[in-house]
Amino acid sequence: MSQQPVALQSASGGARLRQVERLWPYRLLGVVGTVLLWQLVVGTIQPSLGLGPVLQQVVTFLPSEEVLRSLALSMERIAIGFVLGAVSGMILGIASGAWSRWALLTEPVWAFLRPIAPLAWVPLSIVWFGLTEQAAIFVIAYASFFPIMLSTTTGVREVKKAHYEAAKTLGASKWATIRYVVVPSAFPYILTGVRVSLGVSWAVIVAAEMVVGSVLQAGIGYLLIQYTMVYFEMSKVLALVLLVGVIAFLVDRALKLAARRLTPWSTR
Amino acid sequence: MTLINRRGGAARTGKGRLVSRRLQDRASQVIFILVLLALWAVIASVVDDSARVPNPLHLPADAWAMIGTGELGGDLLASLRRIGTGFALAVLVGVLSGVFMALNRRADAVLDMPVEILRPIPALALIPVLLLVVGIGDTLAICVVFYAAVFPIILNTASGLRNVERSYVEAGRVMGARRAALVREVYIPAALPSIFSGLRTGFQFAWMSIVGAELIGASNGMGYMILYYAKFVATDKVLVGMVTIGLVGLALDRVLLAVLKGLTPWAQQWKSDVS
Repeated sequence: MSQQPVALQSASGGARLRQVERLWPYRLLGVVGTVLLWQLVVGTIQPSLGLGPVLQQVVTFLPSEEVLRSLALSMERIAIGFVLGAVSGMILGIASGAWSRWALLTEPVWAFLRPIAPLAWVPLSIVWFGLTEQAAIFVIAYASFFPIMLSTTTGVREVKKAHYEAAKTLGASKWATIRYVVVPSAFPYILTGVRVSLGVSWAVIVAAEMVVGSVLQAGIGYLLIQYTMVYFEMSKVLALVLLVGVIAFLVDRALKLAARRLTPWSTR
Repeated sequence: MTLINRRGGAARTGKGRLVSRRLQDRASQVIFILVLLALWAVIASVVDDSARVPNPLHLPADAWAMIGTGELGGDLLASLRRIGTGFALAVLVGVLSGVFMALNRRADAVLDMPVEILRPIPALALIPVLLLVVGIGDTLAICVVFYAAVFPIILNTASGLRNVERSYVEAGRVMGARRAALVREVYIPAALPSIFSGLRTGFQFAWMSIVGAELIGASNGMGYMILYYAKFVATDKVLVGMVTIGLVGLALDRVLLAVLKGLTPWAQQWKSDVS
């Protein structure tokens, strides 16, 4: 990708090669510069958010039992909420993809619900479930529902007509058609939905736990807000935020890799 | 698509005219919504606990009252101001750095890693840090909106400029365009559709995040408002707030889409975006 804009600088291949070689100092500058900028601006305003104290917490605080247990609890909530949201999303997505009548009827409902941010359900969820774990799980289920429903609908709809006709010509039964035509064709789309909804879920659980966390025993969001509002341990807070970012990154990469492995026939 | 559509096809109306079919479709949608609302109303009257299941028939009156007292307008305005400021900043920074990254390899090398490192951190996870650094209020929400919107804008701008048809660039150069003119007359117009789809994604992310930011780090705005009413178990008002968030978000997205589409009518991407 990044080779193309060379056109602006030089057209000859030799110059291009030399520029590739010389780029690493700039990459280094980018990383070091960002860290230094943070250190100079934020580290001056708030010394405990500086590089040293935060790195120390990354080493000592993050592997502590408290953090690991909260992490496990947050993940468990995501897992439960995700399964609820994904299963209902797939069922309704298949329904919308397969029956145009149903898609037509429900379309205004989805159009109305979809722009309501998952976190906007947090207060209502609190009214329904109280300041409990269930409140957070409900919000996760809602957050996972839409990406999976929409991608499933698209996936089922995008089955190539030719494939469908071919299966019919070969005498495939209804179930064989679903098994060998519809599912393989919709699967890559569903996996994309899974990746999107897990990414959203991770951000949502952190924020939701910040709100409902006062009674919950733990959870990453709860830890974050606790160390912010109660203990004022800023370096621990920043270490936790970095952990949240790293996990988001790793989960996304893992799912991308898994999608490529699981659906080698997909061009997506 | 086709395999499915055949079933719900045009055969239903005797004359098979398109207009009457569309009318029929709309009517069935309206009826379906009315059925759902009726179901909700029945459940509400059976449960008879307005704190848990408020009666949908009362919601319009509640909404009207909240508009009348100005509670809805004030919080909505606060949210809109924040999202306007944060999004405008994100557009400015995002487009500029995207252009820079696409056209200058050194700028790309400098910015690439920081962007890739920062991007996975959810904007909402930054709220605690922002609470410590800037405290509760407008700045916090503006920062969250900015952070949520800026990365899709950067990435779409950069990839749009990188994928500009080579022949356009060559043509521009043959006609004597130098660097600045080439960027202004060739690169930017050709990349506009991609930049715009970045703006739209960025705006959607921003709208999703501002509610979260206001739940935790604000003392007004839509997010704060619905949590406030939830604490008093004024569920009807919570619902009015949620519906407002949904409708305003939808309306803003539609306006943005219409503007962007109007500016780049040739772009392919809008064609799939009918819903």
